[in-house]
Amino acid sequence: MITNRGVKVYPDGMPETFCTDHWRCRFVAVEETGVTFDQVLALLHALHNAHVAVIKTEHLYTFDGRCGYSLGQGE
Amino acid sequence: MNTFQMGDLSNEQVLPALSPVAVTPVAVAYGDGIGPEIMDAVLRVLDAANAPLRYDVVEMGETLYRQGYKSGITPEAWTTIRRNQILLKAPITTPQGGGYKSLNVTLRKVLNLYANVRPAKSYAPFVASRHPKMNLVIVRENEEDLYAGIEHQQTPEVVQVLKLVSCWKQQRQLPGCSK
Repeated sequence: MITNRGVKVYPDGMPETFCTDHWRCRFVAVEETGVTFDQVLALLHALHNAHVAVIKTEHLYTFDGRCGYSLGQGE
Repeated sequence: MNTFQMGDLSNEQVLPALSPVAVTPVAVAYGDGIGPEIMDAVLRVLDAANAPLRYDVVEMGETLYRQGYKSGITPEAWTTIRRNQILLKAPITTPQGGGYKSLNVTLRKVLNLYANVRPAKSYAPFVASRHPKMNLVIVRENEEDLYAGIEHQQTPEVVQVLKLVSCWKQQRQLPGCSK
């Protein structure tokens, strides 16, 4: 999922949604084993090599099996 | 211009045929809680006023959340709203717990409805008021800041909430104001 100012713009975004130059890309593990920090570093490395300007990262956790992060608006 | 006097049945002039009034299609969402009752009343008023409207009812809100639509609205409803460009909605419930996002916020953020315009005018002396001369408009920006709704629990004890404020959006909020 990609959001802009917290609104989901991919997949199934709307052309009416106002977008700024600030994007959030959320990566979620397909497997239930989760994501390792090595995988996070590999992803950042790949983005860097693709000339994507990464300004910050957020790690998404579950707590007692429940999501510890909010959905994107419209997700 | 043709003239016609009331009761002048001998006048051979014929009134021009009235042009048919264009009917405006409006998406209508009955909402939750007191919403259906309110909407029924509003539509009765509009019908009594012979407003040239066609109501396209769309489903959204608590029932859709419970059916598994995480955003509380169906793709079909989005299509109707975007086609008609007008939505008349009643209050909508966001279920508590489960991380549901407010559909009210989703609608205005997705559709770029950034200005919440609230006139506040006194109708004194016809309506008693402590502020008989009040006549102002409050415009609230209702897409950014904490409406971004970006929250992360980072440890068992700490949650982070992000406020996003864009320079462009804030400048658009009040077009009559200087920078």
